[in-house]
Parts: sequence; C-alpha cells; structure tokens
Amino acid sequence: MTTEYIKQQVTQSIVVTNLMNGESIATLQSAYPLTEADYERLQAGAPMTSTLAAMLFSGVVGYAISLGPKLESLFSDGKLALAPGETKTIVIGSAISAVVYLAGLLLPNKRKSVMEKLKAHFNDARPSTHIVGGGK
Amino acid sequence: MITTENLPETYVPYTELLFCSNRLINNSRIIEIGNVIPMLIGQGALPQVWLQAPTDAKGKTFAPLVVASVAVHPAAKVQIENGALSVYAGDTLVLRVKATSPTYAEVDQLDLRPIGYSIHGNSKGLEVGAIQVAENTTNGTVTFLKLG
Repeated sequence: MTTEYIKQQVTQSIVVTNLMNGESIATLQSAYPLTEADYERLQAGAPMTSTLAAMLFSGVVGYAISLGPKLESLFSDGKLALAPGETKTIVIGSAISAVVYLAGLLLPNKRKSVMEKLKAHFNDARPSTHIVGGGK
Repeated sequence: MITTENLPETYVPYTELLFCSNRLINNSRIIEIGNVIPMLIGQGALPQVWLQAPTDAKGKTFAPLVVASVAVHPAAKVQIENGALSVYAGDTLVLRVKATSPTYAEVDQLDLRPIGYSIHGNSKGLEVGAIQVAENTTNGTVTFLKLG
C-alpha cells in the first residue's frame, strides 16, 4: 500500500481505509435512578378512584340502556317518558361517578408522585453534547 | 446529511483550493466517506464551510456541526481570526481557511481527529491515517480523498 503521495499529479481519488478513529458526537443526559419500587408504582397505573368511578358509571349506563323503550319516545314524539325517579337515578349516578373521578385526580397517589419526581429530574438534567469514544 | 446526491444549494467550489499544501484545481469535493461528504469548503464573502461528524463510532450516521460557516452544534464554534475562518470542536482548532481571492482559498490548519476522522495537517502537508499527502496537484478529479 502506498504510504505517501508527494508532489504528484493525482488523477484518481486517493483511497484510504480505516479512517474512522472512533470519536463521535453524543448527546448525554444524566439518567433517572429508577428503582424497582418506583417501577412497580408506575406499572400499577390508574388510582383506585378511577376504577371505582368507571364501575359506578358503567352501572348508570347499564341502567339507562335498560330504560331504552322509554327513551325511544324521546325520538319518536319528542316527549320524555321517564319517571322522575328514573331521571334522578341517571343524573345522580353520573354526578357521583364524576365526583369520585375528580376526587381521585386531586388526591395524592404514588404513581403521580413518581411521575412528578421524573418530571423534576428531567427539568433539571438538561442534555449536553460531548465528544466521546476514540482509542481505536 | 450532506451526501454526493445531496449537496447544499449554496455550495460553489473554489476554482483553486490549497488544501494543506495540495493544490485542488476545479475540484468539487475534498473528502468522501462512502457517499457522505464530511467537509465542504466553498466560495462566499467568507469561505463557506460545511462540517459533519459521526454520531456513532462506526460512522454510519452523521450530525452537522457547521452549516454554511454557522455553528449549528453545541460542540462547534466558528470564529473569524485575521481574515481567516476558524472552526473549533471543543477547544481544538479543526479547520482554518482563508480566501485570498473570490475563487482561491488556502487551508493551513486541519485536525479532524476530535470529530472522528484520522486526518490532520498544516501548510506543509496532510497526514491521512498513516499516509503522507503533500504538495500534490489534482485537476478536475471529483474527490481528492476517499475514505473507507
């Protein structure tokens, strides 16, 4: 292999192999020290109140569906055939599920506290660029 | 990413570029890695420099450091010193180029080692890996150095 090109009229490209020395540009950010306990808290997902609210609301929807024949008159002649007690049940049931759901959002839960810690970490740990590697 | 098929629209090569003692006449490109062009030096009020560095050790992907003589990466810095355009990576001067006419420019300092390529040189010559490259002349060759 030619080891020097000096004072030549070069008519073809000079081809050289293995020119990458392993240095590269990398963007780094300090890692969040995620523990297994935090991982479990994240995986646990939605708080109990959301599940409870969903169950309550499902019951209300099921009840409303069972009243289908009475609701049908609303579309045929524009009159609501529901008894006052039936309407109240649907409205109050929906309201209770909404209150339970919203209460869950306001109450502290472990998943939310881990997410807040993660957010605070990544707000502080800004990414930076470094030249890394080499030694090839 | 600048490649042989994707050159910057504003890039106009110098009619003659003295590249670390090598005279590149009507030469459109200095270095190619595969089809990637890590460095371009073109005409402008100040020399127009494009520089890309690998983002992985094997050189499969590249990130722009300097685009049309503007540093676009936190690791790069462009300065004008005594009429010459200097590009730094970290604290290392990687390229200094000075145009003495609209169609002629000289590169008298080059050190691409901090950004991944084993190439360095000065006004006396170039060292490309273990190969000495000095005082050569090319005329119309498409690419001066091809790296594998």
